[in-house]
Amino acid sequence: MNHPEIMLMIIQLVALIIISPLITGIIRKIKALMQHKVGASIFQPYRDLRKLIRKESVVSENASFLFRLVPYICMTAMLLLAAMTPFIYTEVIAPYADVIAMVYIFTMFRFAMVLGGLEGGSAFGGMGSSREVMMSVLIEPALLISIMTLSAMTGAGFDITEISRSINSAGAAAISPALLLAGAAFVITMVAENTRVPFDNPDTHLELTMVHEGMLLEYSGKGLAMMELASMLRLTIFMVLLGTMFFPWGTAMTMSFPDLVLSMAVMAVKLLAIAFGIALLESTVAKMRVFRMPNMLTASFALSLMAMISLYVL
Amino acid sequence: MELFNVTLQNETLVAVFFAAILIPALAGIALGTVFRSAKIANVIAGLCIVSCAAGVFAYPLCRSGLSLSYALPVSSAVGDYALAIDQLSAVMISFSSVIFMLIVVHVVKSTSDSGCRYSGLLNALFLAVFSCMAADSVLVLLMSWEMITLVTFLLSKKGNNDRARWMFFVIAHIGGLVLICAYGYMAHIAGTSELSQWKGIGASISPVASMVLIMMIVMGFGTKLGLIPFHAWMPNLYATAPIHTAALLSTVCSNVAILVIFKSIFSYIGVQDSMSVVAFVIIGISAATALWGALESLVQKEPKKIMAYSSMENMALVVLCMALGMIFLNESPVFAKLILIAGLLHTLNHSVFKSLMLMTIDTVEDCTGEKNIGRTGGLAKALPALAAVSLVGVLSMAAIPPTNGFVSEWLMIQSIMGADLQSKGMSLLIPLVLAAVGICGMMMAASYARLYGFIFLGRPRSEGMKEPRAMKKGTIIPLAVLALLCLGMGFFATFIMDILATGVISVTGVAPSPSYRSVMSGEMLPLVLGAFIVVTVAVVLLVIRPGKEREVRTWGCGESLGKDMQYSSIGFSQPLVRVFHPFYGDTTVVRDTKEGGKKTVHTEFTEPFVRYLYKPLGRAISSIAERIGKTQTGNIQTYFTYILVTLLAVLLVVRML
Repeated sequence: MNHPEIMLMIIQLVALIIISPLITGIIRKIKALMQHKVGASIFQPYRDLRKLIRKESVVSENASFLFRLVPYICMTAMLLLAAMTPFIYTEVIAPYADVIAMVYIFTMFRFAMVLGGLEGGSAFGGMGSSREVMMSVLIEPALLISIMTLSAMTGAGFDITEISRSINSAGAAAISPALLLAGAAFVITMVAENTRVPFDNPDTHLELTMVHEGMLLEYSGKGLAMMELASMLRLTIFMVLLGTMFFPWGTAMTMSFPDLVLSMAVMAVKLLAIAFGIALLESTVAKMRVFRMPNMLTASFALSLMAMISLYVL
Repeated sequence: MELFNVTLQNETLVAVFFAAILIPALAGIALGTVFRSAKIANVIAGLCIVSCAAGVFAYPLCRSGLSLSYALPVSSAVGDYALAIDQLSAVMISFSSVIFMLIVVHVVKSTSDSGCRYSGLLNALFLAVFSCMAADSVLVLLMSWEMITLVTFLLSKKGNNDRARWMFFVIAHIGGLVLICAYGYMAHIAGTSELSQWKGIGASISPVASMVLIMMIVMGFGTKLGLIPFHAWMPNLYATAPIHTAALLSTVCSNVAILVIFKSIFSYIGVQDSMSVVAFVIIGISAATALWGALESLVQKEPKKIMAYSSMENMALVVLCMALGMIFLNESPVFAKLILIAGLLHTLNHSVFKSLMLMTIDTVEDCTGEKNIGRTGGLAKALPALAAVSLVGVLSMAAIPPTNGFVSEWLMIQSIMGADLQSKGMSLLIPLVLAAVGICGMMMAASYARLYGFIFLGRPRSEGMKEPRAMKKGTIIPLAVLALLCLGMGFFATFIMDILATGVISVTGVAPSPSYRSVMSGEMLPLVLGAFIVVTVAVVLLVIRPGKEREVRTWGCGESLGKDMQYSSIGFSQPLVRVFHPFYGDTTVVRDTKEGGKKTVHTEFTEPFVRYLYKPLGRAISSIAERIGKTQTGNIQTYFTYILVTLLAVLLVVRML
């Protein structure tokens, strides 16, 4: 590892963090356009974050030290994940870029958030946590298995870079039932994990529909800013992972300038396509009833399991 | 060896070691039977702590190359009463002694379980645990295993909990009986009672016989570990026994069982090619146990029952690792090493976080008098130190990095995934096992979030929680030590793995090279990840400093919130109960109350195993007994007839032969 390479990896980490509110803004904009609205500027999330971070926090008198710590833990988890996500270049800065650790850092995020939801002592937070837990019991195994499928398929061990590289260099030969099934499972997981429609509506605070927002209800000011940024980062990380782990073609494997430019362009197209997909889904599909969700999530789990079984059977 | 500037002979050192363990413990037992005063109780517990402290030296002494063995000067018809400590036993003894010591310290400090009788029995339990792990003679092994059962049975008396105790006693004895048969047969084929001579005795019997033996051993010890269907005693006993007994059962006694199963399968009997059938069966049982424990723990109302099911789940995962180790051993030995290390590491980690959590629950009960998580809440405000310490324990149980629980699950998953299996049938096992481990892990995390959230977070749900008694001085010390161990073993897991690797190699006889590290992904990952987490939290705290803050009452939609106007622990797990409904055996009962027109709704959970297996079995046995009872008339003429008939029958049979 030489200096320019380290610089590049740091730049890609910073870029990933910086563009994450933009991605959310773009999704909102596309959604608004699809619904024949003008919609807010795509830079609105930055303004929201700036506003929130300047405000004072209002904390429930029942909340303990943990309530104040949770936003920091969530933020940390997402920063750690961002550091291990290959964005435009397959090498990453994090020395712990292990896919199993990745799944457990997601769990860390979720666990902290569930505890934070229980802190305020109101019914909303508890409801959010309870539903989140129900979803996570089904999502997390699907996430684990679909990522493990990639590891087993490529035989590249658990290093995120190695997995990405070996699919990338295999070219079209890497397209197999296992990859497609695992990819499908990952997409459902992405939608569910980021609490988008049809699993949850990120725009409402209605008691009957909310999962993720319920847990955030007690947060305000800086705490809310961190939680929001962490959620935006989570969505971006998932989208980027879909683009660089499951379908990594185009991602730069060498440091050459044309490769990097191409990689940037390809990544932009991929992210826009996924953003469009999410916006389309949110505009056309109604939110599911809470107890319909398990069916969909079980489907994702079954897909991931089939992906892995297909590796050994076919 | 130099010690305190006095050059000690090696034999003397070994003698001092054994004397320091045996004499205080025996003295403690003697004092416990004689005295009844509260002051002596602390002395007796002190003796137990001295014994435990001596036990901690097992590994350092073994490491320095001493052969730790001792035999009583008397011997029995079956063989000597001998103790010998090999490397792996030494690790387990040292480690279990630390846990045992911390639990005894907590016994002394807390008010709940004290008295000469209890402390005396603690000494007996330590002696039994030590001699079971150090046993070099099959007689000592079986006797001390039996003693563990007996002593824990006596230790678990509290109030009127005879039903739970006897259930434990009977189930544990069924296991004990199976073990006596298995080890008796093994002693017969080995031709000696000395366990250190037993290496590879399984080679002289047929694979089928070996498989039956392995099954019997797993089943026998499984009764204590709570493998299904032998787990029915656990929730009830944990809930009603003194909590320190539960802590000892769940940690130290489980360690013993795991160690002996491990040695029996991999050293004494040995794994051959054709034994994958039994491994499959064990994998099935343990995966089912883990899933069952995870599912049931979600709906329990008592924290202790949650812990019981969690013990079941964790121990099942360890057994699962061993069964996978049996399969991997022939196909890819280096992964067998890795998964066995993962299993043993998980055993050690489990005993740290489980004793921490059980003692936390005891302290909570001590301070507030609440036993139901439906009525607790908001303790983090009143007891912040306890909340902080037990947060580490909960994170560790839920396998959140950088704690030790994460390291062992991470190791487990990578060794399951990494193994390169030749036959397709076996490799199909991998996705299924992975799915089971993944689902269990997540469900347990949900269950622990519920446990912690409803005890420490939110608002108090009953009067006792609002102003809890202050903790007794010093109760936090053993808990804090355990919490530090949780973190330390998470950061420095690699060193423990190295120590365990030596033990695994010497027991299984796998070639030391290639080393397990060569196939492991991220040798130093626990440390690196831990360091990164700490640094990142610090950096985020520095960059985004906590700003101005205003404390207000939680918004209650315009109302002031009553104590029950928050999410309940039952409601919290209700969505999951609905998703996994068929497994729970939950029934909703609507009853009329005495006040006219009002009804109450209860959801009741009965363990399906109790309802569909234990109860029918019990009924069948009672009805058979009743029928046999009819023949016992008490009339002497009838008995003469029986004798005559029996005699005739025997004579006829003998004649025909």
